[in-house]
Parts: sequence; structure tokens; C-alpha cells
Amino acid sequence: MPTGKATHSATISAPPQKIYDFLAEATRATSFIPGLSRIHNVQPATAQPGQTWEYEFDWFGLVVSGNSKCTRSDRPKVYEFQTITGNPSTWTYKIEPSGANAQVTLEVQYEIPGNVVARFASQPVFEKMNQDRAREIISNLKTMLES
Amino acid sequence: MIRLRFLHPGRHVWRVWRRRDDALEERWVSFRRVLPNWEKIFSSTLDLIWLPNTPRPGRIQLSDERGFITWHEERWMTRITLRLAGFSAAKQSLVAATLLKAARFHLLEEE
Repeated sequence: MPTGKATHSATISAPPQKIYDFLAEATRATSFIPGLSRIHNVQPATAQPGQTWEYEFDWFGLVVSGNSKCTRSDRPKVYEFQTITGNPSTWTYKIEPSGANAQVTLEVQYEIPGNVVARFASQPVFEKMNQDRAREIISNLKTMLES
Repeated sequence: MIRLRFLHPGRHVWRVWRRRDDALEERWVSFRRVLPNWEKIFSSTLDLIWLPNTPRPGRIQLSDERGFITWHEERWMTRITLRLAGFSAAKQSLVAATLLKAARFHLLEEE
């Protein structure tokens, strides 16, 4: 299956620890990821490799549900998880100090589901939609933490 | 699993009115079979996104005059009013969207 990658970075006026702590609570993701309807059944409660949860995502009218697993939690530098069912993808947040602020980068690597692309969009359009969504996620994170 | 759904089972909470000036005001209606614990749903969601709040019967007040959320029960439905102030317009929208998601999807787990 073909794969794609969406990346976006921004400077956020907050210390890295605060940004990491906001990101690393799985259920909080519904507040800054557009289309993410709910996260439930998080086990165990604290972020750590092996932590799992169930998600439901509304992708432009398509409901994608599945399970995720935290694969890396290196406070306050890196938080990473994979969606292991549904549409497989790896989400990596990197947080680097930048003076009193932090540079936050989101990189999402995903498989491109052929049936969805064939039915609803060309592959470049699909990739642009995901790139736009990565930009929106980082923008929302900045909004939630700064204002 | 990827599936196409037009009527999501969580979507029995609807936004029916919205006004924005310095503040954001929204009204929602929820059609439900059982009475949800709105105080728990909204207070825990505000806690989750680090917004200090004070729950009272039928109302949650956000700290620092940032707004409130109220709910009024009727036989088959609940009328919910949200007012957010003191944040940027973008944050008001994100907080409102987060609370609306919580209202829609916590219901599924309580029923």
C-alpha cells in the first residue's frame, strides 16, 4: 500500500514540559485534532510505551475507528503513537526548546487506502488534505496553549 | 475499520444557535432517553483542557469570568447554553467544539 507523510512545525510560547504534558494525555486530543470524535478505554492512564486506547475519527464524512498504541514517551522531547487498526499511521510530536518557547513538529506517516482515494479523491488531493490537517492540528495546539 | 456513516449514533446533540461578538454564545439541544450527568461531562472536560471551573446544580462557571455553561432539563430533551469570553476567538471555538464532542460522545458511554 502506498504511504504518505504530512509534517508541520510552529513555535509555541510555552515551556516544553507544558506542551508535552498537554499532548501526552490521550483523551485530550479531541480538543485540538479536528474530526477526532472520541478517545476511550485508555489503558493504563499515564502515557508510556504500550499504552493503548480506542479512537473514532470523522474524516470528511468517513468514520474511521480503531486502536492506537503509544510507542514513545520521552518527556519533554518526543511523544509518538501509532494507529494500529483502522487506517495505520504513526504520529510523532517533537518538542525542541527555543529560548523561553518551544518548536513543535508533528509528523504523520500514513498508508494511503486505495479504496478511499479511488472513491473520493485523487492521491495528491488526499495528501494535501492530510497536510492541511497537520497544519490545523499544530495551529490548534498553539491556540489552546497560548491564548 | 473504515465505514461510511451518515447518521452517527452520537449525534443526538445539536447546535441550534450561535452568536459571536467579544464572546461566543451557543445553544444546543440534546434529545435523550436517559438523563446524562451533564455536570460530570462538562466539568471533567473543562478540567481535561486545563480550564478551572466551579460546578453548581444546572450550571458550571468558568474561573476568571471566562464564561459558563448551563443546562435545563425537559421531558425528552435538554437545552444547553454556553458562553465563553476572555479567550481569543479561535480558542473560544476550540473549547466550544470540545464541549460539544463531549456532550455527544459521553452519552454513548452512559447509555
